[in-house]
Amino acid sequence: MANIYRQVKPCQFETIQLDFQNTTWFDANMLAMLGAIMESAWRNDFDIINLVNLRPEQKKIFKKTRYSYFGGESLPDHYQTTVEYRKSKVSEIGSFEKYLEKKLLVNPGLPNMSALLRKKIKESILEIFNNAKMHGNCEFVFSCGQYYPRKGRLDFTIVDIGNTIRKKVRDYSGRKVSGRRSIEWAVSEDNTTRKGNIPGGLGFTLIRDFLCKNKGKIQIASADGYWYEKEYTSHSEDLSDFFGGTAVNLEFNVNDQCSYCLTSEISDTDISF
Amino acid sequence: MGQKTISIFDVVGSKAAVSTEDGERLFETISAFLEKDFDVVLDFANIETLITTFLNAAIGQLYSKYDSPFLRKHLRVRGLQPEDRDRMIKTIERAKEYFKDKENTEKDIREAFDDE
Repeated sequence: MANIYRQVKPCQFETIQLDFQNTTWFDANMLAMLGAIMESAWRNDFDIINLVNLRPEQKKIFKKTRYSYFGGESLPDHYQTTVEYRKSKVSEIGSFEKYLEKKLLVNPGLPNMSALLRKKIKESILEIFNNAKMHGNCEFVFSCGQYYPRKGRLDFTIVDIGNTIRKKVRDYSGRKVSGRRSIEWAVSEDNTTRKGNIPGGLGFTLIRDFLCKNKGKIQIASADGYWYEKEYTSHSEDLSDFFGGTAVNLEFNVNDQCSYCLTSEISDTDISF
Repeated sequence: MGQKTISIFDVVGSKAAVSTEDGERLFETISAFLEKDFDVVLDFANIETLITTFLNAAIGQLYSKYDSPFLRKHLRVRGLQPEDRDRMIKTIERAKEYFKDKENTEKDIREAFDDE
């Protein structure tokens, strides 16, 4: 997808054809990335991107998510394996929270998850949404999800086309840091590029902690860097292409039976300021 | 000196405490009461979703104005869901760390990338 972004970026006032001829499968959650690229092309350079040679089954999946390319035209998702595509204003986190509640967490296709697991999933996604707002300095966030019933996995992707993590870390450190190293730094405990009176640097730590216990996965692509973590093992690499934003994919194990209530012995009065 | 109880549900108008703006509003409310020498109780009853963005703005930010002994004496919480208590504790610990090392943080990050 970063490669598509790179090819589209120099175009201006053009009509671009994105050819799906040799694409046999396109994860629904990747529509968040496609939406961000199409938006960027239109907003910055007035380019129009047409999707051509889409296989009928792919077109069907796109329509099930109400992907905006088809004017929001939708098809029923009988197997409930997709989570509706959405372009959200970063200022409207309340409405995004309701979207998660209605379009993701009450999806009848999902297994019967514990209330706590649902809560953890929602909170993780909301932390990422807020990161885009706080650090991306962007107007919109693009999101979409794909559920794999046989694997018991739910992938949810959030993309913004604002500041890259690399730019934020470079501005903050004054060092010419690579995209890969910037992400590694940003996801480490206590690290934040914030300077004001509101502390930061906790959100990613909590998400990583939860996803490791959940046996899920987190993937981040920003600028020319890529990083992922799965089951306590992280890996990063330099990308040959540049993506002018940040894409975060969270993969949840929805069959997880853990309680996560590790601190039940703590009472309110134990909270010491 | 009296006591004021602030319902977080009333401040955010929802079961989800998730935005920086709501957190800022709560921070201002807490500060205003503390300035008037009230003890403050934060009531989290009916709050079902609570994320660090909100807590950093509402609670973490308090450490920019007040020190830990003062807050320990004048601020209490109640009604937190058990699983949110850990998040609250981590927010508090992080805020203390953040303001303690604020001046050194920029130096640290430059040092972290010295080989770049």
